[in-house]
Amino acid sequence: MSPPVRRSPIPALPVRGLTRGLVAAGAVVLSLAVAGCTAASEPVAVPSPSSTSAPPAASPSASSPSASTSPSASRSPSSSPEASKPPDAVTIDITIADGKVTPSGERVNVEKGQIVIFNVTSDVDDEIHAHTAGDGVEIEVKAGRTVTAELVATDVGSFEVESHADGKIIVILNVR
Amino acid sequence: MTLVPLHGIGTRHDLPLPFGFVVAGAAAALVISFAVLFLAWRRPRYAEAGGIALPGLTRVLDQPVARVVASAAVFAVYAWAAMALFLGRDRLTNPVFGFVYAWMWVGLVPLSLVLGQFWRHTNPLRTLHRGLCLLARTDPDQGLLRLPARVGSWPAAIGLFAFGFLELVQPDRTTLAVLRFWAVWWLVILVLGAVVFGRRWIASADPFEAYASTVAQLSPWRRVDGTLRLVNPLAGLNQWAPPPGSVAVVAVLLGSTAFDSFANTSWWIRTVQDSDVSSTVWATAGLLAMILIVGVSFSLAAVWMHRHRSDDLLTPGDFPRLMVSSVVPIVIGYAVAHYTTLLIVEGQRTAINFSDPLGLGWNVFGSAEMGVNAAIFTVPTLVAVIQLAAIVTGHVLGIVAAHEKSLALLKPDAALRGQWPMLVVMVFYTCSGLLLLFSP
Repeated sequence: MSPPVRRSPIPALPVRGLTRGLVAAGAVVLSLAVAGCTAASEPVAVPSPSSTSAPPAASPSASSPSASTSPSASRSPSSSPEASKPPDAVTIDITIADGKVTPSGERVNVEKGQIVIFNVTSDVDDEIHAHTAGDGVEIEVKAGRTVTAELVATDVGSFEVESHADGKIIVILNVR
Repeated sequence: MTLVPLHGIGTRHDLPLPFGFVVAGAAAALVISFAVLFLAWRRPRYAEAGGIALPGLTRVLDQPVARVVASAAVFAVYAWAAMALFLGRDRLTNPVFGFVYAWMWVGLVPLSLVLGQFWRHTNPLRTLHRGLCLLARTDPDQGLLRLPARVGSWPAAIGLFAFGFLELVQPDRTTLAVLRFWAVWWLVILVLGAVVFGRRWIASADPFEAYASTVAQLSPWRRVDGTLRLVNPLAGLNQWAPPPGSVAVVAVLLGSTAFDSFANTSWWIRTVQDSDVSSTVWATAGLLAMILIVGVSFSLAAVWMHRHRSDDLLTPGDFPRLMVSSVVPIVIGYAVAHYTTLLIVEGQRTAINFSDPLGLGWNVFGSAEMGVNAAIFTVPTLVAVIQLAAIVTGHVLGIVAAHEKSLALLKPDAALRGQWPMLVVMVFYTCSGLLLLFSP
């Protein structure tokens, strides 16, 4: 039971004051929302640069596995995209070694309609599941051989790409 | 090497909130908070529920026939889902997973906001208990022992934590074996408890009823002296006398939603995956940590208000429970922001699969061949606006509710000063919620 209310020595404010205040607050909110919307509509996607440890033979149209002895080198995040790749493809180099995945939970910004190329090297047999819209895609990987596969990001949204063997999330594709 | 289509399993998430929205939302929350603090009314406005009395509607709803029909309908839906759970196939097309994680868990929020305390009358656990009492010819309100009032909703808080664990931590939570185990224990604890303590146990211990009745405090329906009234939701919320354990209930609700969001950040995924400690340990610790952060921060801010109390009979320990109604709108805002698309998409998928609960190719309700309309995912800006609006609206209503409570509980000349810590804590919840939706 709430305690009895005492008459306040402060006179109650006229309703007009509250209305004015809320209108002012509303105007500020509206202007900030417009500012936020303008910021949000700017193009965001930047093709993420890939590590150059993968051999240059991984061209975007190749979908057959290339036998490769590339070492499971760590990614160099500041390397520049190679000139031989077309401008509208995003390449993601995936390494699975000792039960750990690289990259691990990284977010990759992709434009709608862009091609996403996966270069996967694993020390065990595995499947990479990209939970894109509809049915998603699955990439089979055999131990020791680098596999290249691509998909087209046809739908907008945020999609997980994970390793089936241990359920670890490799990247999250943010398609806008 | 070849790209093989998979069956879709709903791991499609919302895009992160654009950072401009985060800034706009945080600024709006701050501006409106200060506006309310300095410009709002200085005398309590919601001491009574007010609103319009609806004696005709009350008579209709209080007819035993109405209650029996409504309870039977809900019970039938649950029985159908139970059939899918215990007799169906362990595939992701089994509707019981979406039933539990989308319909039951998320669906209760909009239903309770719109229909008020309807769950108290249609909860299938109560129907089951009443049926057992009819068979045994006992009074449902009487148990073997008396449940002390001190118990309040503490068992429900524990139950909600358990559900949070199931929803966010439990490995293999979308397999029938795991879900059956949890469902059986839920039934046993609640129905046996009701036999021992009487029907009050269900209100005290059922996590879903506790969630539903907490959310329903912000609905426009309220019973005053037995008559249903259509009221201003804030006035209705102010009438709520939260039982013991309500702070824990609200802390678990807010903390588990916050953890759900936090577990999607790249930092968390990377840290957990690259660590040698099992992800179950990480997730349990994270869930507990979020709940504690919410519970402790809120309680401290509430206890601080005690120094300005207007009624000397109140102890510091009374204040968190007296103020807990102000967090309810924030809980609802968070739930709407995080789970709306899940309800829309997985809710449809559940409705579609409901026609074929056993995986035998049935089409009982005619929905088995329909496709999920996932158009909501093609309009990320609309989704972002909904999320922003939900969080900011929840914050504004929470601030107003806290202001109203402060006027009732604190000395008039300290009513503004006493609210500061609570305001800071609420701004912290709102900004954190927005940042988590931005999910770096």
